Amino acid sequence: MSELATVSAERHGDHVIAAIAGEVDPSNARQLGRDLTARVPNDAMGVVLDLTAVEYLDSSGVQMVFELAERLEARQQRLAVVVPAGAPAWKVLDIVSLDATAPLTATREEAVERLSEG
Amino acid sequence: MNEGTLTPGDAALDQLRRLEAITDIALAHAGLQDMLPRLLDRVSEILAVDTVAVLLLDEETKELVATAAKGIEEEVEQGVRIPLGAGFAGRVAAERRPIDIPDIDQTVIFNPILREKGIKSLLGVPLLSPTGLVGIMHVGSLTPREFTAEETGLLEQAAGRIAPAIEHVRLYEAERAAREQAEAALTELRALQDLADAALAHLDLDEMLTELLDRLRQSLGTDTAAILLLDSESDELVARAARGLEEEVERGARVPVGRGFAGVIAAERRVVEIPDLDHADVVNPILREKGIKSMLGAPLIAGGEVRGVVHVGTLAPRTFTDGDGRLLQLAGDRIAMALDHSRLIRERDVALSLQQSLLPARLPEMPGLTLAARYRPGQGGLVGGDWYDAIPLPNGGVGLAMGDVVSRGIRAASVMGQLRHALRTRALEGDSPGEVAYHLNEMVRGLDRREMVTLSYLAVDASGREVHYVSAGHPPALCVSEGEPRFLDDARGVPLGALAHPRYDEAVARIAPDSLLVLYTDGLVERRDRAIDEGMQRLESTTLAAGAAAEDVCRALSDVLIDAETEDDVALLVARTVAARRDEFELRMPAISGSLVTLRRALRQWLRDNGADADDLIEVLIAVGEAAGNAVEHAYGPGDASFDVVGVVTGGDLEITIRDYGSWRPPRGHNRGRGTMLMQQLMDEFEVRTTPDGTEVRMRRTLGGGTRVE
Repeated sequence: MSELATVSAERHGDHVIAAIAGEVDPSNARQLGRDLTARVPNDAMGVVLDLTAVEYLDSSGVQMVFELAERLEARQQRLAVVVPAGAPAWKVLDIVSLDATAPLTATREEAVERLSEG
Repeated sequence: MNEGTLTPGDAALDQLRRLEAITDIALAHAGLQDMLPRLLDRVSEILAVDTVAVLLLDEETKELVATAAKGIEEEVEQGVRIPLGAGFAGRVAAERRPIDIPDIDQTVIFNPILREKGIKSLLGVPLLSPTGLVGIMHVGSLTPREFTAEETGLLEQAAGRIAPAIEHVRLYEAERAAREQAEAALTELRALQDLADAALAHLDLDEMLTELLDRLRQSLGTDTAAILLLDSESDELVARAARGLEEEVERGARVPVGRGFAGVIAAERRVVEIPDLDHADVVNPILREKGIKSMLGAPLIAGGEVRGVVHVGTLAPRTFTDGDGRLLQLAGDRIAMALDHSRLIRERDVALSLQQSLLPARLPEMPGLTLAARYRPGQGGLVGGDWYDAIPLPNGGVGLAMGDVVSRGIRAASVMGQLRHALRTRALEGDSPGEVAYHLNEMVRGLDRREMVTLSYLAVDASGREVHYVSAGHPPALCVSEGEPRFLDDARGVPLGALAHPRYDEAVARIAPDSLLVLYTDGLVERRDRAIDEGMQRLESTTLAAGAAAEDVCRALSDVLIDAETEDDVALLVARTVAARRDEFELRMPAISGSLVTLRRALRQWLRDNGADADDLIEVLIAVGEAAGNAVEHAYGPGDASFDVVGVVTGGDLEITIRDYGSWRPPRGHNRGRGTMLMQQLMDEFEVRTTPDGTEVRMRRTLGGGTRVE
């Protein structure tokens, strides 16, 4: 069974590094958001969300990322998003100024650094 | 009769006139009892005799029966019967010649009445008609008399006129009796015809039974009539319809087979009569309560099986005749047939509407594919489990399915419904054809009753160039690519449900644009009078000869291959891959979020073909995705809502329109606001218009110009 998008997440010290691969559209955005939230334990300091492998992301995906940031903030957790310039999701996240809400970086290492800066 | 023997002269003319009078009488009267006395008057007058008598032959007993007499009426009154050959009359008849007895005292005669009446002389002649002896006539004189040859000849001539008249009347009477009999039979027949008419009119079953009972009550002149149907599970008869005895139905009377009146009829499969209900073993107290005195019942037998019992009853004591019994049994046969007919019709109607509700009401419009389909129910009333489907796949391709549930009727249609739903779900989730077949096999194995299902499932990829397919015991699909026909028979698996762990290996076929794919059930190619190979041959040649459009092929195949001899039900699905005009894009999709991915696949391919670069692809897809997402979100409920995407590339400029038939809501909240912002930012031009039908989003962008490279 192939899915439009898959979610993975693993613990790296104080942080959870999660990634989405595939396409995010109105048919799966909410579910992906719920899956991501479920994979972040309460004791994690922050979440790195890697969208490098996302092939398509429209406003439903943007909404999902903003909502994730809000939920994490309510739990005193921080979010950093990894999207290198030129990746399919980059343009959209740039237009909607995601970086005003969560740091937008080109690599995971950079993102972890930004979270650790506190 | 030979009038040439008459001698000329006045006397002869006078006799002739008198004979004519006899003929007139013979012709003027229809009944023997009416005609004969007048003939006898005439004869006694002509011959100046004291007595005249006619005795007619009873063919069965070979006796002469005194039928009319003048002067010796006692002969008739006493019903004299004389054996052929015995006595005077018997001899005249046996020897078929005139006999005269000048002095009866010297003669042995059979009938004492003649002597008692004081008759002295007798002359008798046979009554002969062209078909034989009808009887005899004799005349008598109370004074001794020698009858002359002339007088004998005259009596013979009179007899010659009377005999045919008698025969004519007798035939007429026989005919009238026969006609009366026939009319009685006809009335009976008409009563039956009424019953059959009522049965065949497709009334609701209960209305029909009530109508039948009314007619039966009328035909037999009874007060009540009722039908009990056999419940084969409990082996009881259950009151189903009644007239004049409605309580039986209202109370749901049940009678065990073998017990009581109705039970015995069902058990012994014969007509049973109860002349006096007060002294009979009846199970149902309602019959007694209603004051029924006499009853007659017959079994309802159809196809050799007892289906129930019909009975009639009267409030006054009555002895039913054999004719009543025959009529009731005939009526019972008709009712049983009607019940069977009605049951089959009902089952067929239910299964057919169930099946039709399960077949796609209209085929989806697919990118790069046109479709046409047919379903024709089989002969003999039972609906099969054929089904077909066309499903837009998440990878932008199209799934084509054709299946056949081997059993028949309502159950087959319901199994078909489950399978179609399961296949759709699996296909929409992106299962490969092999995975689809595997899961459907699991599902069929899990059914509470063993079923055998064949399936052909093809997945045409988004490019329209590759077909992945699988077969579970189903006849292979026909593919015509670049004019070359071939059956896709590289994948061969067992029917679904046959094995616990079957293998369904996928095969792949490469096809050119403008190819035809023909999926069908065996009913199309398999017939009793034709080998399956011949059917497939005809399928191939008919497909090749038909026009290019899917609908043309579908019509040709159903015209040529489906006819009155086609017994099985037939499903047919024809797909034609389309080489769309390169610079135009047109797609109508159901307004559901699952359509969005299909739209992106189709659009991506088309944009690539029209010179879009990597940025164009991503950005146009997102902009169109936003507009389409709005259309989906604003669609009126589930069901028929759809939206259209129409694009054209002119000189490197893309103009694309997304049209929906809902009402546009102004952007609400961050998300929708973002959607509009994305469209504005990603495209060179963006415009929203409200049309009478819905909303139209029109966008433009120059492709491949690198104008938007940041």
